[in-house]
Amino acid sequence: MANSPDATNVAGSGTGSLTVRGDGQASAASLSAVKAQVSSFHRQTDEIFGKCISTSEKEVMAAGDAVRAIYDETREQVSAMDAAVASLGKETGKRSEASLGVAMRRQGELFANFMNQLSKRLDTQASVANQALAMVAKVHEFTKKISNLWSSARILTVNARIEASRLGEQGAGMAIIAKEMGDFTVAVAKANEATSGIAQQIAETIPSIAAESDAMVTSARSFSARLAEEAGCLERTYLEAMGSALSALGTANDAAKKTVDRAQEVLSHLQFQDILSQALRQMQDLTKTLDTNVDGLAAGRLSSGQVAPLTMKSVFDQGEVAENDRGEVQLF
Amino acid sequence: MAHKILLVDDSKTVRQQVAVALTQAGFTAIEAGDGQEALDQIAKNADVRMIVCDVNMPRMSGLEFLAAMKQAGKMGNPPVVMLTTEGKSDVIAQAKALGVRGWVVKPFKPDHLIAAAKKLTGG
Repeated sequence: MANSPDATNVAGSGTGSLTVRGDGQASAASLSAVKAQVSSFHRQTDEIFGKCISTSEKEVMAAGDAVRAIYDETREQVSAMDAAVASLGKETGKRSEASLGVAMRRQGELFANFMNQLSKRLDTQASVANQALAMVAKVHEFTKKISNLWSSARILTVNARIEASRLGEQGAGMAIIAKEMGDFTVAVAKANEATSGIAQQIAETIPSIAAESDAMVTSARSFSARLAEEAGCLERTYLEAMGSALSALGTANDAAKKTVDRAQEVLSHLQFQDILSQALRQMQDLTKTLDTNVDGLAAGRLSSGQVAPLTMKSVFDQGEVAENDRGEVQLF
Repeated sequence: MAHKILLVDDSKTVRQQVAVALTQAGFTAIEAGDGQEALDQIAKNADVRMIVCDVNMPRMSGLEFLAAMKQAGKMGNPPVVMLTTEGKSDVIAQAKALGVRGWVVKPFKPDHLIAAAKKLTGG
């Protein structure tokens, strides 16, 4: 190809360079060649861009389906987890009821034992009390006897005086009175001994009753404490079981939430597919413009200063919107 | 009965994602690939309660669609929310002047879009 000082080199595609004279006129053959090249280029790019658009759409649709499947699976997992926890809750409840039954039975046995012991203690106390009452009755009896004996002694004393007034005639009467006084002394001594023995026994019995009462109170307090302890153990066991279940549910929920968040993130990336489509569409338009330009040049309809500029609007220029504000809905 | 929302976008994937989000929230979604199809859908579906519309579309862009709606006296009912890659203030101002009710720069956040849809449809 010839080069002239006022010519402009335009690179072709594989057939050498084209020389266009500065006044816009080009050789018909050269322009025809360029036109053919550009048309071929246009057809190829059209085919490629078309494929790009349809392929990207298909792939992205498939990705969307896959992500939706993640959504559905995750929802199912969460539902299954909910059902499992509900079932666990029921089982725990059943187990706690059974435990409660066992604990109550155990507590019932303890209570029955306690009541038996209490009954025995009460029987013992009753027995002791009856003994004490019997002793008291005996004391009364002895007191009465002593009183009777004293009455007898007074009578004897009177009799002895009477007998003494008859002294000198029948001294034997005095001996009898003396003997009876002696017997009376012995009887009074025995009565005293018996009375003091009974009093001692009563004195010894009353502390034992007090001791039994103290033992009963202590036993009752011990039983109450044990009852409270067993109830507390049961509650702790139940709460521990539920706590473990809730912790597991919390972990599962967190995992599911993370999965959903990741899925959302993937979907948000997929929304940029239309940017790709826009870019490819613009490139398609550009090739059309190029084709028109060359066509116009070749036909002499356009001069070099009249060709439409090949400008592409950047689809990635999203203005002043900050990254964090994307996705936020501005309502007017 | 579920409120109907018209989704206008030349990208099938975007329409798919918005439709999934809205239908899961209880709405019904119908679709259009550009502004002209959207006008056709509106003519056929008088019960559309809201429109979610892209800006850059072939044949009839989102702004051209808004202008057509305004000319037909339909602007504002149903309310239109633009869902677009555009974030330039002059474009937003242009749309506001045509009566658009909301603007979302992609990628959209489903929860926010659903909240806006519920607010604008009363549902």
